Formats: sequence, C-alpha cells, structure tokens
Amino acid sequence: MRQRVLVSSVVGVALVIAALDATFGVPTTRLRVALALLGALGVAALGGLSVARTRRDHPLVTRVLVTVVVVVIALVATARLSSNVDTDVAIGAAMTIVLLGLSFLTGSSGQISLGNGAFMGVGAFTVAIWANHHATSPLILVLVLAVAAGAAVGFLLGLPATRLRGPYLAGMTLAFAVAFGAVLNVFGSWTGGDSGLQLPNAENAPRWLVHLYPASTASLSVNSVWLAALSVVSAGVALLLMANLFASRFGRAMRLVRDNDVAAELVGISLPRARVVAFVVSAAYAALGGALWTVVNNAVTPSTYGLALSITILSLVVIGGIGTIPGAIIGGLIYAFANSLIGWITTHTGLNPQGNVASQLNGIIFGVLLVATIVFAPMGISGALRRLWAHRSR
Amino acid sequence: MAEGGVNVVRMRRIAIGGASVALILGMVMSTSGIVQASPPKVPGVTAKQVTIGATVPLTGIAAQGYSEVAKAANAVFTWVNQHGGVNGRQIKYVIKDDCYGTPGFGCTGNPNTVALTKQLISLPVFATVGSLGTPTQDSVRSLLKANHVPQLFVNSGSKDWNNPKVYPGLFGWQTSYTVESKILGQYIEAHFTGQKVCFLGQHDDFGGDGLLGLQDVGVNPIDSVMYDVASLVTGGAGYFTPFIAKFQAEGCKVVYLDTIPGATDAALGNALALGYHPQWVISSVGADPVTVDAAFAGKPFPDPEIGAISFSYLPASLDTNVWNGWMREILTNDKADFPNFTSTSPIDGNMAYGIGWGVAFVEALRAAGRNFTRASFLKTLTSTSFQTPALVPLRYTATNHQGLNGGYIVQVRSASSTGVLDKAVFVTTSSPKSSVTVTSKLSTAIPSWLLG
Repeated sequence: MRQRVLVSSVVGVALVIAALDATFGVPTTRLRVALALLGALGVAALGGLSVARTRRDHPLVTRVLVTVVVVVIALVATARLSSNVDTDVAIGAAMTIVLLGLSFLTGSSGQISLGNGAFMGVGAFTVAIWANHHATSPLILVLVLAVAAGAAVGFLLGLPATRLRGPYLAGMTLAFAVAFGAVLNVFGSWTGGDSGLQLPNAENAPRWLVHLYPASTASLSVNSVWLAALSVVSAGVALLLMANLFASRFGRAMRLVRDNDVAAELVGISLPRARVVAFVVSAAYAALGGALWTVVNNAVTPSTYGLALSITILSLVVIGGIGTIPGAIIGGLIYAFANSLIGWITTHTGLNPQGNVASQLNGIIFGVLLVATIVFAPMGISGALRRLWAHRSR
Repeated sequence: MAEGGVNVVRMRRIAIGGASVALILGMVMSTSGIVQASPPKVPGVTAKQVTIGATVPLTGIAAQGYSEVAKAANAVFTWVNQHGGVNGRQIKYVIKDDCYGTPGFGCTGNPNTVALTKQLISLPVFATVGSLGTPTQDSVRSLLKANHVPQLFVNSGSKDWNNPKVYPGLFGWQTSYTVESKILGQYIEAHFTGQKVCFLGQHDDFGGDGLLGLQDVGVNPIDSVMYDVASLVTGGAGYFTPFIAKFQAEGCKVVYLDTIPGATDAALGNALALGYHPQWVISSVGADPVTVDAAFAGKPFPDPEIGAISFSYLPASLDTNVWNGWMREILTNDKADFPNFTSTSPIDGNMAYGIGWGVAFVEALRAAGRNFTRASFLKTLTSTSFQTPALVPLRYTATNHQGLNGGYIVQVRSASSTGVLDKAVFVTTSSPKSSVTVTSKLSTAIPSWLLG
C-alpha cells in the first residue's frame, strides 16, 4: 500500500513539475492549453488507477489507464525537449515495440529469434516501397501494411519453426538475418540496392500541431515533436495489446508451452499453432518498429537491418528483462540514449572522441551491461527492480 | 492493508486533486511566455566564427581509410585558423561518426545519419561540408533542403549530387563514377584490346554508374557482379570467394573493381588464395595503396595490389607537385588529428582527397567575402573557378553541381605509392554521348594566400 502511495505521489509530482514547466516555459497559449488537456487526461487516468476496486476487478481498464499515464508523460516530455532528444525518443519508442515482440516470443513461448532485425527490415522496406509507388497514402494505412507484411513473413518463417527447437531454431532465424541483405540485393530494382530508398514526401507535422507553436519555430523542432509523438503513441498501442496478450488465455498457454510442452499438449494446446502465432506476433511487432524507423528517418538503407541489429535487439531484451513489458521499455530507453550518453561522457571527460577508448565506449557499455545482467540479474533490469520491490514490500 | 486505509486513500485523493488543479489552472491561466531569441542572420556564422559539420565513418565497415578524409580537411582548417582564419573568421568543423549508416563491424558511433544530421542542423551549422557516402547522404538530402542548409562537397561520385533544380544547395566534389570509368574504360580498350573483362561493383550508383561508363566507351564485361555491403559485413571476405572463382573460371584477364577499400581487400585476398592473377583495374574510390595494403601488411608475400591500374584526379604521391609539400606541412602541423604523422609518413590518397575539398571550402569562403549569406555563398560557388590540389580546376555552374570532371591513369607502384602511367589528363562528362578528350587546362598552382 505504502509503495503505491509513493508511486502515485512520484507520478503526481512529475505531472506538477510538467505543469510548472508548461506555465513558464511554453511559448504559446495554445500549446499551454493542449498540454493542460493532456496533463488532465494523465491525472484523470492516475485518479482512476488510485481506486483499489478498479485495479482488482477490471484488469483491462487498469492496463488502459497505466498505458495512458505512460504515454501522457512521454508526450508532455517530447513537447518540451530538444529536437535531438525527440529523435532519440522516436527511435527508442520504435525499438520498444520491437523488444516487446521478441520478449513475447522468447519470454512466453521460449523460442529464440536472431532474425528480428530482418523482420524490422521487412516493415521498413514495405513502407518505403509502398510510399514510392503511392505517395499520397495515409500514414496509418502504410503502417498497417507494414505490420501485415511482417506478419506474413513471420508466418512463413514460423512454419518450419514448429519443427525446430533451441539452437536449431536460432540457426534458422540466423540464416534469415544473414540472407536478408542478399534478398534485398536481388530485388535491387525495388529496394534501391545498397542506396536503399528515400520517401517521396517527408512526414511533416500536421497543421494543428504546427499552429500550437509560434510561427518562428523551426520546422525541424515541430516535426521532431510530431515524429516522437507518433512513435510514442504507436508504442502505447503496441504495449496495451501486448499486456492483454500476456494476460490472456493464449498468453497462459504460451507460458505452459515454454515451461513444459508435453504438459501443454496434454491439456489440449496445439504446439505448432502456438509457436507459429508467437512468431507471427513477434514479426509483426518488429515490422511496426522498422516501419516507424523509416518514417522517422525519411529513408531506409539495407545495411541498417543487418545481423548486428538482430544481435543488439536480443541483448537489449536480455538487459531489460525477458518476457516482461517494463523490460522492453527499459531496453528501448537504453537504446535511445546510449549514443547521447557516450557523447556526454566524451565531452565531459575530455576523451578524444576519435581516440581508442572513446570509439570503443559503445561496445564497453553494452558488454558490461550484458555481462552484469547475466551474472547479477538473470531476469534483467526489470526483474532486479521487481525483486527489490518485493523485498521492500515485505 | 485495511488498517489506516481510509487515511491513505484520503491523502492520495487530496494529492491527486491538488495536482490536477495546479496543472490545469497553471497551464491555462498563465499568460507568461518565453521570449524567442531571434536567430542570427546567417545560421552558423558569427563575427568571429563559421561553424560547419559533417557525418563521416570514423568507425565501422567504411572507416578503413575514409576515417582520415574529414580529419585531413580539418588539417586545412586548422592551418588556416592559425594563420588568421578566412576574412577574419575561424572555421569550426564538427565531425559526427555515422559508421556509413551501418551498425556492426566495430561501429561505435551512432549509425543513424538522419539523427546526426539533425544534431548538426540544430547546432546550427552554416552548411554540411564533406559528408561521406551515397546512401547516407541521399537519405538527408530532403532534410537539409527543408532546413535551407547547403550540403557541400559530398564525398561520393554519385550523379545524385548534380540535381540543381531539385536540390539547389547540393554539391558533389570528386569526378563522377561514370567519368572515372569512362576514362579507365578507354585505357582498357586501348591497352587490353579484345581481352575478357569481368566487373565487380557495389550495388548502388557506385557500381551501376561505373558499369554504364565502361559500356559507354565500348568495354562490355562478360560477367558483372553487384555485391551488397551488408552481406560483406556479415559474410566477411568469404562472401566474395564464389565471384572471384567464377571470374577465374571464365578466364577474365582484366578485372574491374568498383569497390570500397575493405571490399578491394576481400577481392584481392580471394584471388591470391585462388592463385588468380588478372590485371586489376580499380576505381580511385577503393584503390588507395596505403589503405588497401593495411590488410596485407606483415604478410610474407608482396602487396597484391602492386601493378593495379587506377585513376586519380589528385597529384600522384611520387610526383613532384607544389601541393605535395604543402599537404605534408599542414598534416604535420595538425597534431590533434594526425598525432603520428611525421615529415616522412606517406600521404595517402584519402588525406589528399580530404585536403582537396578542404581547400575548396576555404577558397569559396574567401571568395564569398566578409559579408555573405547562404544564398550569396552558393552564388559565388557556382560562378568561380577554384584552384585545389586536383589537377583540373574545380568549376561549378548554375546547372552543373557535379564537381571535378577529369584526371589521369595511375599505377600502384608499391605498398604506399602510386605513379603516373599516362601523363595525359583526360576530361569528359557523365553523359553517354560525350567523348573522353585530353585537356591542357590544368590547375597546378597553389593560391598564394595559402602559403602563409
């Protein structure tokens, strides 16, 4: 109980700080009203969460409210942060979606995929190819198409996966990750070869958002806010769907498959079906993340979606915490700010940014995090936090 | 839980109620706003400084050799700054590592060219100068255009940089891939008449335009392979083995490479392992001997690149050229970027390349005068002929933003040097109809103000 009060107070204080910041720091009345409405929504959701009966009797409502609070905090923040941080947030939120997908596959169904970077690539290229042939399609349609394409490829790859387990399955997804670049190369006239594709129209902020800011504001800043908001809201939707899936009958069936597939079969769960569905969900999530990257970057290059990305995704899931939703958010945050952190370290320590130490910082930080996680917190950062939490509540 | 629950619930309600009231009232009622600082007249330019930036591969797959290019340009800026700057302004050059937009392979920068370019725009920079790579720079063309930031001297020979109608602020620098392959192709036609030619190129404008240029002058490779960089990153040199083995089986006596240095190494290494010794003809992009030899240094056999034919628009390192001495001086002077460079170190092709457009930028900045805007700077750039280390003058026009249009044939003579194979300097254009001709209009002098 006390902890919940603590959390509510912390979130409440954060919202009040946001309010004060909005009062003194926001340039136009219109933006102030917009932030106020957004803040009110967040506070209302928080109020709903504070009712113990809601939490007990209506888990779905609770999940919606939690998502709204998280998304509102992120949106209020993006409206106020610099365009550089907003770009980081957009990239990180999209990565969170990808991590959610892999987390579900690995954490719930016990399968390992080294190919999620390539699934991202499927979504990323779907957006770019479609936009180059139908420049005026609404964004939502393009994103849905990308998710569908990802799901379709996931299904095809999931079929053989029903017969494979452990290292053999990992080997198959690895083959997909390695072959993906060559496949793009073969279809060079569609995918643009090594140059990749640029979107014909940059995704610009809608008029209503531009009007919230003073006329003198650089289009770069408003567009960055818009792209970050787009990513954050998509991540919110993905998060909500995943939370429900985790808690659903299907989610429980998945965990049973992971822990004991013989028992699962005995109670009537179809193993192949469960495994294929897990693959499809994970691929669709990855494709959405990749699609958002293309929109944010206004371009796609095949080299982005190589093997290194798949490995990064897997290590982020491990660092954040396999099979948990907070773990995916933590992983996304780490990915979003790792490069800025390295930049900050090099400028504040006077390291030569082109020197040996500085140029290896990324590897050092990720490597240390990964090793420390595996040794000290096998359930990842989110698992460690949860244990700390449980310990304190006792 | 039940004990004291009422109090806690009440406390929480008060807290949340208070927070919401504060939030809503505070945001709606307040009328204070922040005063927008008026932006400077020319972004990135102050009375004493011009800030420019670039995204380049300092680490990752393309870093080998290319990591020196922007630093070499910075050596020019450092030298000029030490001698009073340009029109009283110091040049501040901000270099961001984008790993060629490719994660993995030792990449430790942020492999996101768009995000890094946004950082440069918000600094702000006056222009991006010497950013490297075709795919990477293609991906930020519209971003830079939308923010009115000139994109100068892109380090790539793609024809994409010559599109002034759509991208008025976009400028290339080096000879286009087509110009280069046309000149090399003509040499192959003249000296290896009737011999089988095979082609290995990067699957983008680099390989595509290069192959077209060869065909323009009548060289039709019996086999042409386009490789992708991502597979080279994951597959390593083994990715090339089947291609090279096929060239060998087909009996190709001449192999033309449109490859980046790492890929050149992979091709040469595979041929060596297969006992295959064709005449290599390598695009200047991936032929620099110092860079290519790094992979073979310390091995018991001689550098397999020796004897390879290539193209250059910069002075050959063994040539007596007034620029070679000056380059050595400024590189030795810049201890921050080249701490280990001494008066006897070899000047590799990447350094000369970076110095080339570094000089082009300071020349253009000087010609633009003390009071300039982005528009007036671009006007100066398209209406002036510049002397750079390149053998042909650098000349842009309102309708041609490509850059240099010619050079000469060189041969790799040792692990660290190239020599002139044919003294003639050829010029042509990217158009399939224009022929390759010898020019006598050379740029051999050094602008006197650069001599200090």
